Amino acid sequence: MLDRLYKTLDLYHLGDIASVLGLIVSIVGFIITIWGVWRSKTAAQRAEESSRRTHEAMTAMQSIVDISAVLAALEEIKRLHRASEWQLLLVRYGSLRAKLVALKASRPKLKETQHAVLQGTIQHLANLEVMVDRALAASKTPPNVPRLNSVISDQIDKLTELLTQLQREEIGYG
Amino acid sequence: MADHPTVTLIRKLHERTTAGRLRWEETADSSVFQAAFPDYAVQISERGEDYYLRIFDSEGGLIDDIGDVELGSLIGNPREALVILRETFTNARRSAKGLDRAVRSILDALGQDDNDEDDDIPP
Repeated sequence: MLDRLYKTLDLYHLGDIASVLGLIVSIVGFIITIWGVWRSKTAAQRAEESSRRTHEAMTAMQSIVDISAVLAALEEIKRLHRASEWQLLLVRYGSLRAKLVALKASRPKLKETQHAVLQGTIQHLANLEVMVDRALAASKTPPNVPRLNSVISDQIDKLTELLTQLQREEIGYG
Repeated sequence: MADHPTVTLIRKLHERTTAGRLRWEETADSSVFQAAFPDYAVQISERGEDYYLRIFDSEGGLIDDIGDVELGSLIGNPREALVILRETFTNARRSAKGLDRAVRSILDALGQDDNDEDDDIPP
């Protein structure tokens, strides 16, 4: 009985065929495994990319909110100049400058020109703080409110342009 | 011998400002003009017959204040130092007030008028 089986296997090279089939099954299995690993890796990468984009979009959105708040604060400073509220203004210059320093530090991905706009506003607020502080220390009224407001208006224009750029970039995320 | 870093900076600012490649802006003080960079700002000012360049850090604090007299000592030529800072100041004022842009725009408009008139002349 076993002799007949061996002869049949030998006659039709069934052993070789089985070996080849085994090899093919192994190769197909290996390919499927590799494909599965690759697919899970790309899915993880896609998830990571999606998470990164969401984070960038949220950061850009927060920048828009923060710059809008800065614009409102600058408008308030113009009103306080007209009302000669110098003591209150000293507080506002300092707090707004600190807010801008924090905003700039937390947005390293802004372009250099955009950082320069924020730096310009920080510097103007520092100048105003020193100017008003010195005038008050010398018991004088800080001079030339229209000029002070002209400087603030220039900064409002530049920050509005920056805000528009960020809004345009934000739309680009959609 | 290599220039002091501040001297190199002043020469660069002078070169860029003269070429109209640096944007200056007016400040609350009419004799001071400012240019902002990503992490620093500089101001050029006129006090009497002297000129000064001030450098500020990212929070608006003063780092350095150099006048034409001090610059003259650094480069060993007081006259050249005065010329460099005076020209930088004059060109910074032109930039801040938008004078060059205004002149170019008016000249463009005048040129356009000339072209329009030329168009009216029959061949």
